[in-house]
Amino acid sequence: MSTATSVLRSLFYLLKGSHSRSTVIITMGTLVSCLIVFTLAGQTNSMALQAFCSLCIFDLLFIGTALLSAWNIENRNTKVRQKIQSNNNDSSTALFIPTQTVATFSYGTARFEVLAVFTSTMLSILGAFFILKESIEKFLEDEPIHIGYLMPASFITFFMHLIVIYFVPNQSFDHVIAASSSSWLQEHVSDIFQNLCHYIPGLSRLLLPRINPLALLCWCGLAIIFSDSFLLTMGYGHFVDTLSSLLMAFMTFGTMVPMAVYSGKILLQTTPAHMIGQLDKCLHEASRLDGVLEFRHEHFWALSFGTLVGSLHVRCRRDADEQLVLAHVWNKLANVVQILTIHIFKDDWLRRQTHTFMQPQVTHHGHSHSPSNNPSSASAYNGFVVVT
Amino acid sequence: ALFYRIIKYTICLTIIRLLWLFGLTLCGPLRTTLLFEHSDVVILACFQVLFSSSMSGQQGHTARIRGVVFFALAVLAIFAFDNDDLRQRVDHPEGHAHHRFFAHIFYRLTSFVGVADHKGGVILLLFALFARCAMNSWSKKLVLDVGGPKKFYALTTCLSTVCLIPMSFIMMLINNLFLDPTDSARSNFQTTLPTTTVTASFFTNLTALIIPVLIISLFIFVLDFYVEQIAIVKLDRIRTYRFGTLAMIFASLVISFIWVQTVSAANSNAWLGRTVEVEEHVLSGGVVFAVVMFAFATDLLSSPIRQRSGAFIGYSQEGVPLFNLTHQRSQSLLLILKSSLRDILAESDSRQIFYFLCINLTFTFVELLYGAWTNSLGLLSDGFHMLFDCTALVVGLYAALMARWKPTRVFSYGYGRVEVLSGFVNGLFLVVVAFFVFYEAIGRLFEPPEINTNRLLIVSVAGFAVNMIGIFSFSHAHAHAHGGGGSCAMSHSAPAKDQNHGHSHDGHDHSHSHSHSHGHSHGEHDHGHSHGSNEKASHHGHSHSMRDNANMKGVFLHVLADTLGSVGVIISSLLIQFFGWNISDPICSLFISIMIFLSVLPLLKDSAMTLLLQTPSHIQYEILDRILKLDQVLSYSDEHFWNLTSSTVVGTIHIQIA
Repeated sequence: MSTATSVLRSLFYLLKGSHSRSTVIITMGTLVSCLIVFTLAGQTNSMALQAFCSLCIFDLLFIGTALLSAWNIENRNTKVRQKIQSNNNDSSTALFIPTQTVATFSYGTARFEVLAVFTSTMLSILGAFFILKESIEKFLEDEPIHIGYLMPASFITFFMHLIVIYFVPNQSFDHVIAASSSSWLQEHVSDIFQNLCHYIPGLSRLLLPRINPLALLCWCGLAIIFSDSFLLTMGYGHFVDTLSSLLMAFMTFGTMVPMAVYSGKILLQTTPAHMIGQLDKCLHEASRLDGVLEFRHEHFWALSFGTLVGSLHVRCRRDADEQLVLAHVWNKLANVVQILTIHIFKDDWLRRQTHTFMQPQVTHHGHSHSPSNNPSSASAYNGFVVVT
Repeated sequence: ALFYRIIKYTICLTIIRLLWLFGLTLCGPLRTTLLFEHSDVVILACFQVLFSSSMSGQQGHTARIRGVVFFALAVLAIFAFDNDDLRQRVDHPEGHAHHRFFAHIFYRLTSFVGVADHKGGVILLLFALFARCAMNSWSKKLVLDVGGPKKFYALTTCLSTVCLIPMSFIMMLINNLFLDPTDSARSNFQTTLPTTTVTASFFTNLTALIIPVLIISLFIFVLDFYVEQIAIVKLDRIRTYRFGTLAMIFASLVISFIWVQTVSAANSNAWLGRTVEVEEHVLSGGVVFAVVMFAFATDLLSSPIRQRSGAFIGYSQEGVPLFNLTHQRSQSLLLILKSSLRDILAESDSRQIFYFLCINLTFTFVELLYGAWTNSLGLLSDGFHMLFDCTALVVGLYAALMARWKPTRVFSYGYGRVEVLSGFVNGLFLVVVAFFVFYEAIGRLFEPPEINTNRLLIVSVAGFAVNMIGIFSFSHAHAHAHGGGGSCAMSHSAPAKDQNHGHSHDGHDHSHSHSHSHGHSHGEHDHGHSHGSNEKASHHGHSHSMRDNANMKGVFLHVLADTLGSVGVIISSLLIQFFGWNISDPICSLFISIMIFLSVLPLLKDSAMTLLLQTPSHIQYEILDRILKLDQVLSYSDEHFWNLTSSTVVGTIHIQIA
């Protein structure tokens, strides 16, 4: 009951805001077209159409991601906690209603976007995979296909998809599309266009820029459905249909996999590939600073799109001024790494424990048993062995 | 020895030409030209793209791939989308007398396999093409040994004629016909010109034979060879092939177009008083498509690739540029398999998944084979379904392997998170499965189809048994982990949660931290390490019983969903068999899909929370406040703690020290 009211409230909120009203209308349109298209696809019994119509479901996920990132931006701006509950509309956030809003996500909610992008791309990859399997089964079953609904349904999907892609502002997907490596579809199309521009140079302004992979997927899918329906009317059995659905599924794979890999790598707490060069340069500069001996335990990872978190240990010379070193290192890295934690220590023979912590895991293993054997010393600090 | 090699070569050549001839009679001249007249360069480029991964990433590789795809599409178009109407009308009634004995045998063979006659010809021609290609590359040394291509060519042609003479006599005896001289004549053709006009007509008069044979041999053997040699010398080799193939393809298209136009005239044409039965091959859209595709493929595949020989490193002391020629050497497949198998068997998680995967795969293949043997569609599609399910297991297995990799520069925390991600992906997989089952069930609810329960019950019971093995083994694994936790239950009371080792460091100068706006006086880094499963079991105990490994949980849930599916099939097929309730099938699937969805939700939530860096529930503010009681600690800020994997907690905190 409470979930229903919260959904209603968030819907009301979205309708109230001018920025999201068009999004809500588009969402409604997508929902309706989704229903229509899937009933039609069920009627036609054609797997190719079903594969193409799964774009509609991706559109829903896309809108969900858009709402989430809009909420995120607003959240960042206003920092009002109350709005968190009122604004999450889409299904992906309904899972993540924070219980203790302050403490649960210490890094804020920016990572939600990454998870949303990953979820939507992964779902469409898995859906394509499922369609692959279904189309093979359908090929074995050998049922007749009704061509009548093929074109209307695919046109509805096509227009809905283009509207959603171009009229729903979606920062997170924009970032992922720009930052991820290009899909095989994009590469081939750009290769073709390059060859074409050798012959007709005038087209280079139109054809050479990078194409939005989602729009490309839609265009190619429409072309496939066209040829599919043409061949079906010519009377070539459903071998054609199976073939075109397989092609659709592979295209979906190709489009979604780079995005899923990019967002998945962020979720795995890795350094993004395009940041490595810059980061290495900064680290190299910082290691040349006066008083810095070496860096240890460098961990740099992307929190969300465009935010880098880092922590590292700096071993400095014994006579160096720690605060100065800290400030310098901080200065060097702060341009690249937004959230930074630096630990400065000195190689001091008086404090042997500092070294034991740096030991590799093998010796560490024996060391780690000491708190559980001797709970009294560690219990006060909740297991954090504080070595000073 | 040289003679021996030439003989071998000649025999191969003759066989290939005979294959080509059969293909010609089956497919007609246009299709033969399209399929067979490709230069070796193109075919070799195809194979290079398909089977070598070393050149991936180079410039021009995408163009090559596209060329291969176009080539495949063209072959497919000729194979499947070219309905040769006139041929199908003839369709070889049993009384139809074939001209040749072998053709009839071949027809029997293809009809046994279930491919149409014309399609059999396509396969034959492709085979001949590949064989020719292989032979040409194999005979390069032989050509040099004999002494020039001219001598070699003349020798082999004469020898193959000698080979064919006895064969044609045998053929004549078998067919009990007048000697069909075009047989021997045509078998000698080098196949580089569109030979449309020749095949269609049968010369039955020996006197009328001499002149055409002379002309044909002059054109086909002598002229063609010299033209090609001159072209290779004048242009370069690749360009010759390129333009030659393109010209041939389009010329054959044009000629066959003209031929089709004049076909009525040709049909009524009487040759020496005897009406000629012309087997006509019509022009279809598929062929035109194939022509265009072949043209593209030839263009793309024969265009020279811009080869990068190595990466530029720098200059040597003499000022000569240095290149790095070392490519990463690919290991042998056997070694990779061996090492990965050892890795898999090293730990219990991956071992269990692997064993269950093996059981599942064998069951699947038995099912598929049996289904293909008995021609049962239900079995086949169920087999595909099982194969589909196996992918989830493969994902889980790979993640379990990956989680043990060493940390790298990019993956600075190690690969432990991969397991969480794989658990999440497996959860999403189940959501998709549940969605599609739901969708299908809704569709069936309105029009329940007739279901043949025959044999369905046996299969589902067998699948149920296999899945039960999986469930028991995986749940046994969990029980085992908990047993390990119980054995060290004495340490459970210890409040040491995880192997979290932090150390703070008291500074000496504190004015700086206040002057800076960012307020970081000190960074403290708590670093967690995981140490085997018994520890984590003791810590997380009963509260998160399944949480210890998202990956294993995902796999377990997948197996559970499969089991549910088998149970549903058993119940619904029993209901249908005894009561005839066809509607029980969609209702069962509805229930199953909802159950799958509900069972997946906790896993999804858990793994999503881990991926979102949620602060673990056991780290409370009161506990953190104890830091303040430490000596010289003024305040702490920016506390970040999260579960790296299900067993490891990592965190950073900033501490201000007096």
